[in-house]
Amino acid sequence: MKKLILLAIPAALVASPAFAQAASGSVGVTGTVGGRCAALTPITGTFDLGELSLTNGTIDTAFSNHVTPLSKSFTIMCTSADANVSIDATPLDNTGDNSTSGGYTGRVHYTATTVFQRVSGTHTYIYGTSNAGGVLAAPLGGRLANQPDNVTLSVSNGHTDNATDLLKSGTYNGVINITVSPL
Amino acid sequence: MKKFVALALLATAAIATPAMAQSATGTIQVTGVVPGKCAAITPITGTITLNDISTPTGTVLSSFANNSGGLSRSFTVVCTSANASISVSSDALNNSTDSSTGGGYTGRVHYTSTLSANKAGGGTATAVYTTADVLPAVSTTALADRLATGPNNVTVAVSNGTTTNSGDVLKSGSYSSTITVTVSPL
Repeated sequence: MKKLILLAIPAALVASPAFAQAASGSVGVTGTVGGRCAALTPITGTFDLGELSLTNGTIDTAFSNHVTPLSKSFTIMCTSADANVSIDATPLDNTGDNSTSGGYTGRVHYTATTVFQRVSGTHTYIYGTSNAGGVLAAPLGGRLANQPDNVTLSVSNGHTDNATDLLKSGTYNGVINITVSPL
Repeated sequence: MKKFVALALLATAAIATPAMAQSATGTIQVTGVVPGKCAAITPITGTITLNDISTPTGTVLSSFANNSGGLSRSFTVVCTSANASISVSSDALNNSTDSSTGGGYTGRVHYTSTLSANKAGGGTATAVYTTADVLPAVSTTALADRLATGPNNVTVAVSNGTTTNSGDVLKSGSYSSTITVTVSPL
């Protein structure tokens, strides 16, 4: 009987560590970031070109009388790896008469050039109102650079359908539309 | 004389009989063991759903304010030991397709996990773990007390989303991470 008790005691001592169990587990944490683009500085403003004509009445192709700078920069943010850019613009139309005939015109075409800074290099979109090709849309081909003023729009190359046409007096307005969408 | 003999015999017999009723006595020991152990009465599992973790400008939303279901989860754990340790660790929230950082963008969001356990004597013990690009060691804290009994006595919470570069824009996609929680007897 004594031998049995002596054997039983060591068994109990060995058993204790085996029961030193811990409670453990894991908790998952999930989040999302949607593909999106946002204008951190509003894509808005006005190019005030001032007097559009030369002293001889034809178009000043350089817009040299511009009142405000011929380029504007914006800050756009995209979370996506690529973005689609859409650009279109309307000609500068005389608000009273934008017709063209008899050596006169009420319409001035121009080129809107938009340069996007990417993480690697730039991508340039050129839209000429005289081409009337509808909306210019193309992928950026990379991530938009995460920096201020990463998109610059400039206007240039004023011209008329007939190079020698005289511009009709009046006020001329055009609109440039830019859309940047996540891809 | 006869009377004397008879009395003598009876007296002897009467005295001798009880002396022969021998008893066997002894003691039996009964032993048991309660080892120090901890067990999750409610499984330590689940998901903390942060939803959109970005601000309108694309940087990390440090408050995780778009979460659904709250930023913490509680569990019921029992420990038999006089003391216990709580441990917590995790990886970062990594974009499932691209967790790299560069060019003003990142696919990795760091955060803090705070594991707290109620103590029997009142108050809580906490272990805090914050992820980094090089993950730190597991954070372990001793309760210095018994674990309080009762439901939901262990809680893990997430907070303070950050990126390695504070101005980085988050890359779109799904982000996930795993928090490991352990309560051990001491």
